[in-house]
Amino acid sequence: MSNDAPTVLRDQDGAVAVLTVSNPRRRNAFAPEVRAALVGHMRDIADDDAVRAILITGAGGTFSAGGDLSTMQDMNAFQGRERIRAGRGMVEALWSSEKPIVAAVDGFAFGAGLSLALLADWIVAGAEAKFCASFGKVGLMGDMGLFWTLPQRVKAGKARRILMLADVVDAAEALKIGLVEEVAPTGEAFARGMAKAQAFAEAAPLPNRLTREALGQFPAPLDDMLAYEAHGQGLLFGTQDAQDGFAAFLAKQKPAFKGA
Amino acid sequence: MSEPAAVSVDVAREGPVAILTINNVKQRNAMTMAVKAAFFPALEAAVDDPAVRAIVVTGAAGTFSAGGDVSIFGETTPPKGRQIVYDQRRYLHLMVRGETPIVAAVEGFAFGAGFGLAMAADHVVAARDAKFCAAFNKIGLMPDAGLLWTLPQRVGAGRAREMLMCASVLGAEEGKRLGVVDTLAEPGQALEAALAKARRLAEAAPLAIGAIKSAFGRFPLDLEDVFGFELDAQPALMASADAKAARQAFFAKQKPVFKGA
Repeated sequence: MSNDAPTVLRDQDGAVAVLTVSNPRRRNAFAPEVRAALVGHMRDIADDDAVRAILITGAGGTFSAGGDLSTMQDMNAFQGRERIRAGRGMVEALWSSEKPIVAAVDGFAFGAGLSLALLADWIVAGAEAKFCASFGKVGLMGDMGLFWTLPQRVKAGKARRILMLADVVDAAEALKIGLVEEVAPTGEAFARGMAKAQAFAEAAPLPNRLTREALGQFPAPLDDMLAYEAHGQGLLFGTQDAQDGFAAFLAKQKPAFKGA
Repeated sequence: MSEPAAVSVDVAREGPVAILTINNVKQRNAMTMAVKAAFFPALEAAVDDPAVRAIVVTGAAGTFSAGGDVSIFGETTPPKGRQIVYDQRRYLHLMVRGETPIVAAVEGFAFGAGFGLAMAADHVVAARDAKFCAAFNKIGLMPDAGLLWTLPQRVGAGRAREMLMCASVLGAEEGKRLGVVDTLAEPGQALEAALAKARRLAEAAPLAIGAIKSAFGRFPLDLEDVFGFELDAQPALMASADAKAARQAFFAKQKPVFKGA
């Protein structure tokens, strides 16, 4: 396999798994191999107790330029449907993750690259990063969950502008409208993303598995969430981590959560 | 187990505004079982009183509420823990779906269940130096007190996830920018600013306020449900004495006085 074959590289830094989208010939576009590699890594990570948080980024200074148009030539509707179903597999792998995900975005997060970033729990953008739901430019609508994720981060008017006009949003505006949570100086998005991923990794993992699952049901009625929090909290009262947490709190110490 | 402290929820009236003050100063107004046992009937009485048109919820001695009573958690079994959390729905339902508007006046800390209490209000007034935190994760628990429902409606998905999962502390000024806080006040002035907001809410048409709270309390509604709710609720409001009087006042260029009928 040559170094520029489309894939997702996996690395490990402490309790943080780093997933790097790499498709250097196409600015990290989502070729089928990229999707498959990402889903495979997410499956491995789910079973890996050493991983407490995930940092997703792109190789070579850009996040991802989106879908791979070169593989969409002469695609008929049913082939397109298969493509969307495969995309759904990737969305589900991230959406259903019990481990929190941070996205570190430099360069472009366009099209499916934007969709991928928005599935993260926290997005750090480099100061020169650019975001665009570029689907409209090639006669398509947003996909990979954008109609669910985008309105959870930005208000209706902005979401419509982003989806319907395919305007390019720079990092400063992205922060202002809530599309990203943090902007890092140029060249520091990865380091800032790693710091945030480590903060997620240090948090008690069992409550966050439940919290992430509950937030994945958004929007849900009040009573569903009140029932969920009661059932979940009940479970957590029986965990060693909670017992350790109570004792540490009363002793004014910092607990070390084991995930048990 | 710590000695049970003398706690109360103090109720004061200022015209049509009821002020509920959590008074458990020894535990920084933690939402202990005793506080919750006092808070629910005080809130219910205020919501049920037609002369009360707005409610201010606040904490005594310069802090809102520091959360729960961790000292009893160690001996709390899972079924008991579940019950304690589920019982909070009684006051949360009243705050969210009760028809009286509620303003939270936050000084100091709104942590854990205290943060949940503030977020269940319709309007949040906070002193510039107030701090908010879903502190649950710090002791190995998940957010409760309705935060999974309330917080994502106020802040974007990423910020909500980080606050709920990392238990990060949010200052009031940043909270204002993000949507956790609606009105900023100078330190020590949160109650006064909250009262000013509550007086305005108390002058608003109470039946309409009740219908609006009922609609928001049903979040999320799809468009068909919104149309259905409008169809059910608006005709009754149109036929109310308040709406009739307000129409007359409108044409006479006068300010209507709403009676809640």
